[in-house]
Amino acid sequence: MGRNISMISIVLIGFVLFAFAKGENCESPQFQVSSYSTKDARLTAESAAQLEITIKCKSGKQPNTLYADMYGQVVPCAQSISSPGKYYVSVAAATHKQLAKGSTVVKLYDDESYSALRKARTEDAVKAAKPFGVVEINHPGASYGPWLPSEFFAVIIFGLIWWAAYRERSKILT
Amino acid sequence: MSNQRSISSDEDLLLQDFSRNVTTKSWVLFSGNAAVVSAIPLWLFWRIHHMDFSSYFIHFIIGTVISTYFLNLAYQNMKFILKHKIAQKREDAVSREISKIFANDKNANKKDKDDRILARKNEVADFEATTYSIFYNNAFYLVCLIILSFFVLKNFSPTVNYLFSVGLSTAVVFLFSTGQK
Repeated sequence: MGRNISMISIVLIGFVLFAFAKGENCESPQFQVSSYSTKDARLTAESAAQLEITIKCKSGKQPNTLYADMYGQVVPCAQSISSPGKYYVSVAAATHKQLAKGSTVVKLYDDESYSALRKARTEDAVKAAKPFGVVEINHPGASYGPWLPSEFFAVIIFGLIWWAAYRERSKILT
Repeated sequence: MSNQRSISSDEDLLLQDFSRNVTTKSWVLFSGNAAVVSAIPLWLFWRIHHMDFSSYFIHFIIGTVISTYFLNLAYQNMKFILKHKIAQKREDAVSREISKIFANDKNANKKDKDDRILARKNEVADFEATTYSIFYNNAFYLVCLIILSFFVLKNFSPTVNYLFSVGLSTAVVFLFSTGQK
């Protein structure tokens, strides 16, 4: 009997510890984002965007896994071993136009919120699933360079000066 | 004897006026300008076409010296052509200007006045022809250079591009400066 009680108490203590361990979440997280996206369309064939998200939690506990909803796809973020609290996510598009220009919202999910998202079956439920955090990526768009190249302007300007000089010379010589 | 010497010096002046030789002052001005304009492409090929100065300095020196020499000749040719035309066009204005100065001077004879008119006319024509020749040839040279280096020879190696664009631009400017029209 006494042995059974001790077994139950061990199991209970285990549950309690597990509950505490699971309960220690990241509270009031602060996000710091630095992003890169393809800018030069002349040297590259595809557009890519990358986000580096640094999360600072009040409790000091970082999320074990972070998922990012980027352009409609939920993908797990890579983590940095050397500097904990840094998460990376990237996206690549087959053409430059496919990567949406401007500011795009990226929803972040930790384990808890991700499981809530997975359980959501209807569209409304998916919308109602509260993300862990929301960050933004700003992609100004890949540039093909100026519409008219600078050497063209140089030729036009010098050509006009020469033309004016040529007309003046013709006037003098006639 | 004195009269003969004076005639001979007048003839010298006249010959100098009609010769292609330029005064030392003009020559220095032309050479300085030609050197500066010939050095402009160096910046273009150094910074934009990425030609390293230390590796290509022989090309750069050859190109700059040749283009300085021929641009100088082009300036002189153009000045020679323009000077007399400008002198003809400015003759009336110069005569009026000198006549105004001589209007109050009753003692001045006609020869003095004519000499002053001639000297002033030459001075004006020389100055205008010098400056205009520099301006026209510089503009023409730079247009040729940009068109050749950025459009015609853009797919060639920088060395070929530099030598041919500088050489051809100089040749074109020099050839056109020898024409009368």
